[in-house]
Amino acid sequence: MHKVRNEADPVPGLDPWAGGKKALCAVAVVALTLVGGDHALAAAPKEVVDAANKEGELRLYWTSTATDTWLKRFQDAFNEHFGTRITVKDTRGADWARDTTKVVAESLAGQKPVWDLMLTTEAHHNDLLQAGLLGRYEWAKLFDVPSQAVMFNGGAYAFAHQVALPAYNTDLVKGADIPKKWEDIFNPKFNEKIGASTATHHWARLSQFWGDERTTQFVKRLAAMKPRLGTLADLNQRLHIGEILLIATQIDNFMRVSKIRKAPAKWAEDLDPVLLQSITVGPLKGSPNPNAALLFAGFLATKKGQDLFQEFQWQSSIFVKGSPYWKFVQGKDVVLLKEDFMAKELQRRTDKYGAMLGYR
Amino acid sequence: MSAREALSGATLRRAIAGAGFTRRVTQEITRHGFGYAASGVVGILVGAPAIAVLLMSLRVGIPGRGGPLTFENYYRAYTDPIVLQVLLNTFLFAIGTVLVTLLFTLPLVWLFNRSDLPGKRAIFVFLIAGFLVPVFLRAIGWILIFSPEVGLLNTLARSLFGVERPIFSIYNLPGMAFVQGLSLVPASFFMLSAAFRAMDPALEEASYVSGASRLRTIRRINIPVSWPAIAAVMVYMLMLAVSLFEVPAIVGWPARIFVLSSLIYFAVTPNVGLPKYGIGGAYGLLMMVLGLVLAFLYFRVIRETKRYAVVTGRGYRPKMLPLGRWRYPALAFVAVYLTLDFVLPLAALLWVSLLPHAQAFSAAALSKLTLVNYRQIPELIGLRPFVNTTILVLLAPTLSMILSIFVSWVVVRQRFRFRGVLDGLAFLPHAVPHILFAVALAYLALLFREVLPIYGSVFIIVLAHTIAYLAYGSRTMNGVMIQIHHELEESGRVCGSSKLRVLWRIVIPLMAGAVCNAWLWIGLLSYREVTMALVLRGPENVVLSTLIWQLWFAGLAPEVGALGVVLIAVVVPIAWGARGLFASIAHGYSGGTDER
Repeated sequence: MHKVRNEADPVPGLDPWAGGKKALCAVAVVALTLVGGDHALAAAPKEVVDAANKEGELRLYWTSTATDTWLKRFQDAFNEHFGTRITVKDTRGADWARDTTKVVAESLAGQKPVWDLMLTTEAHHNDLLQAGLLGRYEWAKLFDVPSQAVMFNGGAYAFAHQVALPAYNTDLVKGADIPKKWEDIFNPKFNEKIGASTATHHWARLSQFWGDERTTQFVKRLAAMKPRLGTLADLNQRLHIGEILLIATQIDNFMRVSKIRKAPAKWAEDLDPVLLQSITVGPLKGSPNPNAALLFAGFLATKKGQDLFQEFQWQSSIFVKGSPYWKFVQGKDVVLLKEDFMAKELQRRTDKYGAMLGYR
Repeated sequence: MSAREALSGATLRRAIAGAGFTRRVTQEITRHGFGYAASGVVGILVGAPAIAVLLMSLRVGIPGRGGPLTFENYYRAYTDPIVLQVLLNTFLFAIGTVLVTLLFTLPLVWLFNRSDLPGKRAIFVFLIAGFLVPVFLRAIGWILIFSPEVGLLNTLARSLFGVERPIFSIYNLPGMAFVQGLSLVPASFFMLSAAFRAMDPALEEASYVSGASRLRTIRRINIPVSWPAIAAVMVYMLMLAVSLFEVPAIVGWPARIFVLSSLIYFAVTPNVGLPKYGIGGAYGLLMMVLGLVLAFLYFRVIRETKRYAVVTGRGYRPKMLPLGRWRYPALAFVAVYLTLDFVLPLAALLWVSLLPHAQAFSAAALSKLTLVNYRQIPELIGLRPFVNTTILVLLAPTLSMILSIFVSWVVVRQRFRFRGVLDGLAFLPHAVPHILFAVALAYLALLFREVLPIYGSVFIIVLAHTIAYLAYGSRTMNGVMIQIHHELEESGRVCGSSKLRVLWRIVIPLMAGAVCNAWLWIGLLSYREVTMALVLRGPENVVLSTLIWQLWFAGLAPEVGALGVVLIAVVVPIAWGARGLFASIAHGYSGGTDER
């Protein structure tokens, strides 16, 4: 088993953002600490279970790939685990940023949030935190959540991670052309045949590791290749069809779809560092069913919850020893957003790199 | 005269003047009650969200957060170095789109409504079915055919003629305008159909008797008589081309060609942080101003209503003109259009739906054909989206058409002094970017949820669509109503009927075919609309369009393709029946011309 490396390897002459080093150290410490054992479930307090049962319903906001069957499986496993009879009503989110805004606007208008619980990313939960919509929970104490996974003063925790790496068309890119390091995507073969998606926050995340200057130079070179612009879904289709040879960053949700369908698409898995986005969960303050929300959020930290989510989305937590993503990141550097970076730099750098590529 | 007497005289005069003013106001309201009522209703429905959008553009942060009014959003929006290029792109794209639309629509609508072209019912159904293919799925079709790298045409050119560089590409402004213009043909066809159908053939016959050719007759008779309807289509489509997002995103972005709607999309759909609705509103205001200017120009066209009246009390006898030897070229033209707008997208849809993942046309891909995507459909879609969509497509067009008829009647038929303002108000929803309109509506629905508890239900989407398609309905109704001569209503009034009774018994029956077409078309627009439905969505009001959107964005294009094919298979027989029904209604009122 490889160890997660704990240091960046900056290119000489390019001074990474100083905070990036700190962030990386923090990540490495987190990654090393998490190696310590399985996280058995602490018994959920009876009063939470009883109160949740009394509420009887949970309004859940989660991924757009969910189906009725998956909803039922989660509901049944959740109820079985806690001995409850709670009906889960779901909304399958297509635009997390807009839906986060909707909740904030509802709150400003004095309306209770339309959802009790949102499964989104750390960046969206950060927006909810800023709007005062996250509570404070003792996740570790209540549900034995790894302490490294807890974010926003207990407002939410990362129960899974999403990986982003360059993806290539396996029919058209072979052998030496397959990128082994990030700079390999500048292979002239990919000029005008590389996709750069609207998810420009990936570059901002990378900049936490590399620093602003190095990332700026990198994105500048990428822009010079005249990449095809588009959403991740759109670029994924173009990759399958063969119109583009490579997507500069593609997330695991689409790689999962590609793999299930035996589409000619694969991640350049040797690349280092690996970009990670935390999939976070935390009850919304003022929601109609706070206890059901808390209980369901806790369920996702259980082995049953983790296994089910892995089966469902092929996403797991790097903080859970033995999980697929825990294995995937061994021996690699990983980029996990620090809350400080998220609050101060993420937006600005996302906009900056996006503008360099042509987005606004 | 004592001071006291003088004072009481002045008071008396003021009292008399006051009474006169009150009487004039009362008379004005009594005389133009419908005008004021229509203005009131439309003013509230359209004005409130429009003002909310304006306020949004003057505030930083998300709606509802308050704060001081500022021009910061405008500064940020219009000092962006790319904005001039974007505005130029938008202008060229919009003009090109309208030209392409009219290039196909005008001959098509003339052939369909003024000639004995065979297979009209099939054409009608194909127009509807083609419209049901989601734009992003059509895009796959265009990529498969026109892509410089993998497109069928370029691949063929390479293998047949050995050309090295691609000879076809849609990734440029003309390509964008072509694709967008083509996709707007059905909508403009439905807008123009009624006006062309209502035309009195006596005018054309007089032209032929005078020795004019068919082309000259079209140029000198058909087009001038239908000018208000054509102007309506041009104005409507121009605004639509400025605001539509999908084609610029799919065809323009790969080549880094951005238009105004792209900038609005970027502002309100960030991948990090909350949407910048204020900046979107700042761009949106430009669209609103453009919309109002176009509405003003359009109103100048329709002001001279008598010039365009062709349905008179002296006999209204629509009749189909024989095509003769032009029948086959006409059919060839229709075939070219249907191939581009229906056959190719449907073929692409079928192709994608039968494969595990999107891939270029090849013999090797044939071995991978599967029905698995069709088997996935029940798993992906529950019952609720169907129920919600049914409610939506029945209610939204009905309410929108009721309002549209009422508005058009006041604008075109009444001597209401503010009818220009009313017409501008009715057009305004079309000029406000739909996404901002929906955000504003959602916010207002939240504020007034105690009075009107529709937030989070399908009825808020119904309301949004009712208002948004008021522009389409009223433009269509204006174009038709303008062709009905005043004398028909005057005769009704002379017989003692009230204004409303005249509207109900004379005007609406004469427009029955147009009303049915517009109703059907708004229903289809409502079915396909995704932007507003997404913003207004909650756990209880998922509709098919939002479901298709989320499946697409989850990378499930083959399943979306399969769903698209199934929906077309369901809608085609319904549209076939509806066409028969609508033709019967039109037939019943038009005095016997069978055009089924």
